[in-house]
Amino acid sequence: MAITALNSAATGLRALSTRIDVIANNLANAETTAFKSSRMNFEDLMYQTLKQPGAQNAAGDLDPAGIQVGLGVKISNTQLMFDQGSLDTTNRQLDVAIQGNGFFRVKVDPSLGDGFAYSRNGDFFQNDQGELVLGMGDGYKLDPPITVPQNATAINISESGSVQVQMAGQSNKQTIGQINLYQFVNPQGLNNLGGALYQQTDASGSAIESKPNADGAGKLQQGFLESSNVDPVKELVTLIKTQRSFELNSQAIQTADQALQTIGNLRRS
Amino acid sequence: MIYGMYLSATGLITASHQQDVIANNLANAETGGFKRQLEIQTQRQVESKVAQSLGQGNSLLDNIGGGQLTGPTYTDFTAGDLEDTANNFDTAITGQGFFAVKDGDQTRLTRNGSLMIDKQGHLITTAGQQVLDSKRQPITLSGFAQSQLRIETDGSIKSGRDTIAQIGLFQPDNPQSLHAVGRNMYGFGTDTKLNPADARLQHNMLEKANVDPTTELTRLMESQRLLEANANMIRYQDQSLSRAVNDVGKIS
Repeated sequence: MAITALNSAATGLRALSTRIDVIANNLANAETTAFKSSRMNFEDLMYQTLKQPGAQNAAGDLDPAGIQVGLGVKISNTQLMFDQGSLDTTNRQLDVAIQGNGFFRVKVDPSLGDGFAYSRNGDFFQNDQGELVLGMGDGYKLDPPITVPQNATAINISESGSVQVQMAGQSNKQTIGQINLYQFVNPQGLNNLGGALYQQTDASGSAIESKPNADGAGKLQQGFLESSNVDPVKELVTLIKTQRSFELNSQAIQTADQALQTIGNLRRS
Repeated sequence: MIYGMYLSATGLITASHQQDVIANNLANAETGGFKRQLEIQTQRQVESKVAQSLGQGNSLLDNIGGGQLTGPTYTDFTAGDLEDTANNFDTAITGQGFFAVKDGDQTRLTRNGSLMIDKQGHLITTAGQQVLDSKRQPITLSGFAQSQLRIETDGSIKSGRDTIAQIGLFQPDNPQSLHAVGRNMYGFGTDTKLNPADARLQHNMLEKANVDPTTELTRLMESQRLLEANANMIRYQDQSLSRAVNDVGKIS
């Protein structure tokens, strides 16, 4: 009855308004370094079967199709889209972009999962000890740690991740460490902590360590930052479509409401 | 006279059922791979024929029909629009056919081609079901990252020149015998035969729902008016009945 239509349309309104939330977040982060957009996937809810396909009718014939009424829609998941964002030149020697797959690993608060988080944001700084830390959050340290000596005049990060420094008064470069990248079998299963940080889950599988530019990992680009991979045109088109679908569902609610009203007025004294 | 009221009631019930189906179509207007449903009204047989008492009752009533019944739900399997995406594991089926997926111990069919690899290396849909190959076995892609793989138009998954797996595409002999089970999937009975489908895959594409808002809204308006007309008919007949009961034979 009309109540079913009312409920189905309500599930549509609810799911679509959540999608508007997701799009709003994507657009808000259109300028966030290394931000990865999310996409919302929908799935249809269960069906009410009023008559099974293949049921026998009075004449003994088999019905070729049954009678089914769907009960609406639900959010399947929000899927992280890990396609590459474009690389912006910054010429800053501690800006590192990953061109290809993989994440940097940083040490976060030990109470947070296994104490590690993964990020594609290579906007590094030095802390008071000379260690490389991420620019945002609480200055999470890069792992394995890299400490830049005090009297270093220039830092050079190669495509394959080896970090070399030029010391004052020396002509030779000195290797002080190696930045590794971490990959996941299913990166879409990562838990989004915010601040461009992701944490591994049972769904993502454990991190696989590799050197940059090897084993399918991307290469490092010093002096670049990866920009957000949000495509504003696409987001806006989706926003418009969502808005219109939302309106259509509210039309269905109004119609169902009118139907109930008509039925309610059937008996007039 | 009361018989007519019941006929109007059947019209009202089917119109209301039609609204339920349209509401579900509209709710799923953004569900990937969703196929809209159409409810079909069938003429109901005369009550005396249903009760197998033809000719025993009022012979006038035997000839005026028995109202309306909800017929089988028809699923419109025409293709939805394709939307391009940046994900190379988003796959759309062009032509008639379905992916086979494993849902518990059942095999189901789906047109939702938003695929990914789980941590065991199985190819799964974003709804979490394992995608089956042409021999109806789960596809394992362990050791490969998504970016190293390519889904070809014939359904093969390739890394470089090596074919790793072959995504199965199936078409049931009678698509209308499928029943929707939710989560973008269709179930099928044991008597349904699955044939290899003559379809192609397109990567970086997703099939949207084939719901057309204009059609749905027009049909919604139509069913709304149908419902009101039937409700009015009930009311008129009730008024006539009221006249007959209360006014005719009133002794003033």
